[in-house]
Amino acid sequence: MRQPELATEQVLLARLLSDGGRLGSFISDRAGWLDDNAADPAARSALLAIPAEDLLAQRGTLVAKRWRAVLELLPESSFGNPGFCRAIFEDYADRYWPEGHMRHERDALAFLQFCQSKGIAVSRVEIARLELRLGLRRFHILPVRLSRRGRLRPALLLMHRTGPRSCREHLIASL
Amino acid sequence: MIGIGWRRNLAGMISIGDDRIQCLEIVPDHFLDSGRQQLAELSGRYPVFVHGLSCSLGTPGPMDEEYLRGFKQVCDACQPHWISEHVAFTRAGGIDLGHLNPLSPTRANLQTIASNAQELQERLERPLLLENITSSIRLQGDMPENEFLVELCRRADCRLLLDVTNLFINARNHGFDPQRWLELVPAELVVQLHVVGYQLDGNGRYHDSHDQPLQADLLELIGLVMESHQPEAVILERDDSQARPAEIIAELEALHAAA
Repeated sequence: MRQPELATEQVLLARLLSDGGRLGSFISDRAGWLDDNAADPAARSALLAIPAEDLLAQRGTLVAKRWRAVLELLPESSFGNPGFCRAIFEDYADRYWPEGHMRHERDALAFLQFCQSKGIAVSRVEIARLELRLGLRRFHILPVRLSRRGRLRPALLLMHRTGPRSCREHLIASL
Repeated sequence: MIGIGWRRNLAGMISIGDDRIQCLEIVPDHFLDSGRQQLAELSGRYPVFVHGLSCSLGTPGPMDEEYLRGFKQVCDACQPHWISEHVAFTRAGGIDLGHLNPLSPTRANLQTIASNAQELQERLERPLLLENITSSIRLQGDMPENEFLVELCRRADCRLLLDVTNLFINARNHGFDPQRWLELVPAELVVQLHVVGYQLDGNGRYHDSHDQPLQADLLELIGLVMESHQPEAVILERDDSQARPAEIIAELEALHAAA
């Protein structure tokens, strides 16, 4: 019978740092978790020696970096929105880990969808903008409201993809 | 030379030019999709270095071909004096952490990073500098970190990009003397420095958030390193989109004064 390939310290750390649930299991039963994950002997001794608070701090650093990137991409959804907060993001970050060089855009879009599923109001324009930048849609037409002479008036916003990570927006009608 | 890392919010200031910006560092990830013409213009104005984030030199096995292709295209567009990458891993076992993570200083990891560093240097046809990272985790291994870095540079035929902020933060968080750490690093090995202010959280832990101005105690260490190791270039790495050009210029002036 073929022996399973043993996991290196890099693979084990990647598993732990990308998933808060796994990290919790490891902290509560290190030896059991390392057995279940077929740790190689060097990785086993390296991981057994790391203080739990250091692992939690490193995961906190990774999640904080994602949170900062998401906030930069979502100024409209985050402004003055108490539901759109770090605690919700951490709950979401335990379930999804984005990949690739457009990971921040993917992360932001997935987080907006997560917020919607929790009934938290988010900007539809930012969802549309991210879908265009990620190449998931070629254009969007959205009804929006414009403030003019102290009153909110309905308008239409046409958005279209112009290339990777970019889109253009035109206010095509003010009714 | 003292300069800054190119960031979108600083692009206007960089394209206008300023005597205090003497060189420029480009992150390939910012130009993977577009902007190659802009890179060519920047390289006509400044000495340029290209700083990789995602090669994951510490991951055993082949590097990410798509990222390497993009990295090479960015280098071809801006003809950097040198390139740099981190002594770290960002992905492993099919998971892309998207951030730098530490490796234990073991002989096995030394071999992995040296082999990937040599391949990167050959494929991109540019001298490669290797950078020390900061981490909340301090992994034990066969040798101390500074000895590991020196040996790694020797094996991979590379030199060092010394991140003084990372050294300062690790020294504070893990309790060692940064000046003693530096004694083992030969001056001729250090070609470039990275600097940016640190962040101190409520638990007394230091962080490399890339959004703080340089603090006096850190600036003192930077001045000592500049004097003892005489690097060719120092790059200020401010990532926050809120940093105003006037703030960046004040930071550059502080670095010129420390030199």
